[in-house]
Amino acid sequence: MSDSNADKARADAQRFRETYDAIHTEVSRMMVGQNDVIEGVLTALLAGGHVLLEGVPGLGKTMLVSSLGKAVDLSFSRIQFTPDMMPADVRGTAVLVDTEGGGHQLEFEEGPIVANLVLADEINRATPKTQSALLEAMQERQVTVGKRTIKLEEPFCVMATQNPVEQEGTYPLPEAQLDRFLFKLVVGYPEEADYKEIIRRTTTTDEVSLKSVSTGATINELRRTVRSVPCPDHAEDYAIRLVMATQPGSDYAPGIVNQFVSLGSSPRGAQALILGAKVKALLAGRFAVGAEDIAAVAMPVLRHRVLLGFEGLSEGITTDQVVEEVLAKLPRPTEVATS
Amino acid sequence: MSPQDQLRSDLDRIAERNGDAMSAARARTVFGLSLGKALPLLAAIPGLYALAQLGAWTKDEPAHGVPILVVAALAAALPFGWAAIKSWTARREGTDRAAALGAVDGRLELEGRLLAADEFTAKDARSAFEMAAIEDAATKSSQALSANLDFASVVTDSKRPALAWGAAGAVLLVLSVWFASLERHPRVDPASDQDVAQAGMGALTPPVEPRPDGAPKKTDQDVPAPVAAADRKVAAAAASKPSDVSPEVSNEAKESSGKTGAGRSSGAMSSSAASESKSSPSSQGQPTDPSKDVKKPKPADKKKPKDTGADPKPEESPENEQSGATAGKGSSKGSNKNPTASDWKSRDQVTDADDQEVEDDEETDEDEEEQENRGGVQPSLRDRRPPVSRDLQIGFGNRPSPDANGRGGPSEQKKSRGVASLVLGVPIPDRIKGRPGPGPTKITQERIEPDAEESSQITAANRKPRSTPLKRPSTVELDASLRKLVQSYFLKRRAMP
Repeated sequence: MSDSNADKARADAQRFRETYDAIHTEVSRMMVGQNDVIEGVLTALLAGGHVLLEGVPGLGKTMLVSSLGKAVDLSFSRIQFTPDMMPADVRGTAVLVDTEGGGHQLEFEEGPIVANLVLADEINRATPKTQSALLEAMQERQVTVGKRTIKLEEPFCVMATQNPVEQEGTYPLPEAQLDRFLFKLVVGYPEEADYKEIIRRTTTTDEVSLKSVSTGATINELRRTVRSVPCPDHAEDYAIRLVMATQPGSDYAPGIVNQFVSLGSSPRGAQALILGAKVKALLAGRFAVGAEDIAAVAMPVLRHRVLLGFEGLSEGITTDQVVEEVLAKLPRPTEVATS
Repeated sequence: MSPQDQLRSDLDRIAERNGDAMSAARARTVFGLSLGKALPLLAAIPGLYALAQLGAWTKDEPAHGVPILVVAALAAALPFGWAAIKSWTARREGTDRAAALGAVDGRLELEGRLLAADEFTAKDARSAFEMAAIEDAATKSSQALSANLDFASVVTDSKRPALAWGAAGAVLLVLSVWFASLERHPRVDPASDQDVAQAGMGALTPPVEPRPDGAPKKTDQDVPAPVAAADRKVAAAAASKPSDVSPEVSNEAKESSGKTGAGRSSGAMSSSAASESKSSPSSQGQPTDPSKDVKKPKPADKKKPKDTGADPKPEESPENEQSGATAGKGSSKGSNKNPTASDWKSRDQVTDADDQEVEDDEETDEDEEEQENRGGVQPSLRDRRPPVSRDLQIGFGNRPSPDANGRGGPSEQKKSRGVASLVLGVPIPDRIKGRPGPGPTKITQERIEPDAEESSQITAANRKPRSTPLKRPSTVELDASLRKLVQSYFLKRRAMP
C-alpha cells in the first residue's frame, strides 16, 4: 500500500464530512432545536439504515423527514398509517386500465413504498398485517406483489414515526419490525431559546425554502465510504460484548439486565453498532472505529432492541435505563484497569 | 526504516513503559486491598491464642507455653506477608500490550488511535483507510512517547481498620495472658458416667500417692465434696449391679473399713445406696437394663428367706441390717408392677412371660402367707381356676371364633402356636371394590306420544343506541403499594408450575 491510497481515504473522509455538514446545515434551517435528532437521522441515512422516530405530536418529526428529502433531492413519499390500511396500500396493486383499442388490461401500480425516502407516519396505528408489508422492503430492499418483485432504488430509507402517549387503538410494533430499524430516536421538547426561532419561522410571512445540497448518488457513495472504514478488534470486541450484555444470562449482563430484561439485542444490534460507529469515526476525523464511537451510538441502536420483562414493566424500568447501566458497567478497552 | 516500522517500534516502547507503570500501580493497589482483607488476622491469631489458653484453664491443663511475643509477632507479620505475596503475584503477571496501549489512548484522549494502529501495523496487507489510520496514529505517537503518565493506584484507607484490629488483638493478648495466669483446680465432672465410674473406683481403691513426708494416706473423708457425691452415685450404681459384682464390692468395703478404720463411712455408703433404691423404686423400673438385672437376683432373694427363714438374723450392724433389708425389698419393689413406672414400660413387661412367672410366684407366696395366717395349709385355690384354653380353632383375624369349642370349652381367643400358626388360614379380604358381576342389564323401551307444551313468545325489542363512546378503558394509575401487590401476585402465579 502506498501513501496515495491513504490520501484517497483522507479525501473520501473529507468529502463525507463536507456533505454531511451541508445536509445538516440545510435541514437545520427548517428544523430548530433538534440537533441530536438531525444527527441521528443523517447517521442512519449514511449508514444505510432506517429510523424510528418517537415523540409527542407537534415536535416536527414529519417536517424533519420531509426537509431531509428536499435537502438530499431524493424521491419522497409519505404514508399515513391508519387501522383500515391494507398491505396493498403500501406495496401497490394491479389495477385495470384502459388500453388504446378500447380494451382493458391489468397494470401494476406501485405503492408509496417505492421511493428513496419513505415517511411512515404513525406507523403503530396500522394493523400488524399492514406493518409487515414493510418488512421485506426494509430488509431485502425489494417488494414482492404476487409474482412480481420490485427492486427498490438505493438509497432507500424508511423513517417511521410513532406517538408514545396515545396508545389506545394502536398496534405496537413487533420485535421483528423493531429490529429492522437501525436507530430509534426520541424526539424531545426544544429548549426555551429554540421556541422563539420556531415561532419566528412559522408564524410570519417569511418562508424557508430548502435547496438540494446532495443527491441520491452521492449518498450511495458516502455509504460505500462508511463501509470502508476499518473496525479494529478491540472495537469489535467491545460492540459484541455490549450486545451480549443486553442478553439476560450472558457473561457480561449486569444485574439490571438479568432481573428486568426478557429479550436482549440480536446480532443485528452488533451490525448496527459498527455501522453507526463508522459514521461517527468519520465525522470525528478518524479512519478507524474506536470504542468511543460505539458507545456514542449504543443508546439509539439498543434501546428498541431490548425487551423488558414483566417485572421490569411493573417496576417502571425503561430500556434507556438498561442501556445506560450496560454502558456504565461494561469496561471500555481504553479504560485503565489497575485493580 | 519505514514509517510503519517506526510506528511499530514506538508502540513497543509505549506499551513496555506504560505496562510497567500499570503493573506497579496494580501491585500497589493489590497490596492495599489484600492488606485490608488480611487485617482481621491481627485479632484472629491473638483470639485463637486466648481461646487456647481459656480451654486449657477450663480443662485444668497447664497454660500453653508459646511466648506471647511470638504470637504478637505472628499476628503482625501475617497480614503484611499475605499482602506482599499477593502484590508480588500481581506484579509478576504484568500488563497486556493492548491494555497498556488502550490505557494510553484513554489517558491522552486519542480515541483508540494507538490500539488501531498497533493492529493495522501487524497486518501484511492494509486497506486505504488502514494506511490512513496508521499515518494518523504516527502523528500521535510522539505525544504518547513524551507523555509521562502516572497510573495512580487505588488508595485504600486501611489506617483506621488497622488500628481497630490491632487494638482488638492487643486486648485479646492481654486476655490470653490473664487466662494463662489463672489458678488451675482439678475438677471431676460428676455427670459423666466414665468419670463417675473412675471416681467410684477411686473411692473404693484409694489412689496411692507418694508422700515424701511419710504422712498417712488420705482417707475418703479428705476427698472434696463433689467427689463424695460422685461416690454415693457409684455406690448406688454398684448396689443395683448383679450379685456377681456386689459381693466383691462389699468385701472390699469391709476390708477397707477394717484397715483404714473408716468402716462407718463405707457402711454409710452402702446404707445410703440401699435407701436410695428403696426411696426411689421408680428409677429401677425405668431403664431396661436394670430391670433385667433386677430379675436375676429375684429368685435368689426369694429363696434366701425361705432357706434361712428359721435361721436367726445374722449379727450385723444396724446399718448393714438396714441396707440388707432395704436392698432386698428395693429389688422386689423395683419390679414393673410399680405404679410409678411408666405406662409403656409396665404394659410391655406385663406381657412378658418371665414377669408372668414372677407374678405367679408372688401370688403363690401371698397364698401361702394367708394359709399360714389361717392356721394351716388349705387346698390350693389355684386348682379351682378355669382350665387353660385349649381352643385349637383358628380365628378370623383378631375376632374370636363364634364356633370355638375346644376341649377347655369356650374361652378367649388364644394365640395360635405350632404348625397352625404357619398355615395361611386367615382369609384375605377381596380388595376389588364394587359389585362384581352385576349381571345383564335390562332395558325396557316404551312408545309414548310426546306431549305438547305451551311457551310464551318473546318479541324482539329495538336495540338502544350506545350511550357511552367506544374506547378502551383508560389505564388505572396504581400507587406504589398496589403496584407491588399486583406485581407479586402475578410473579407468584408465574412461578407456579
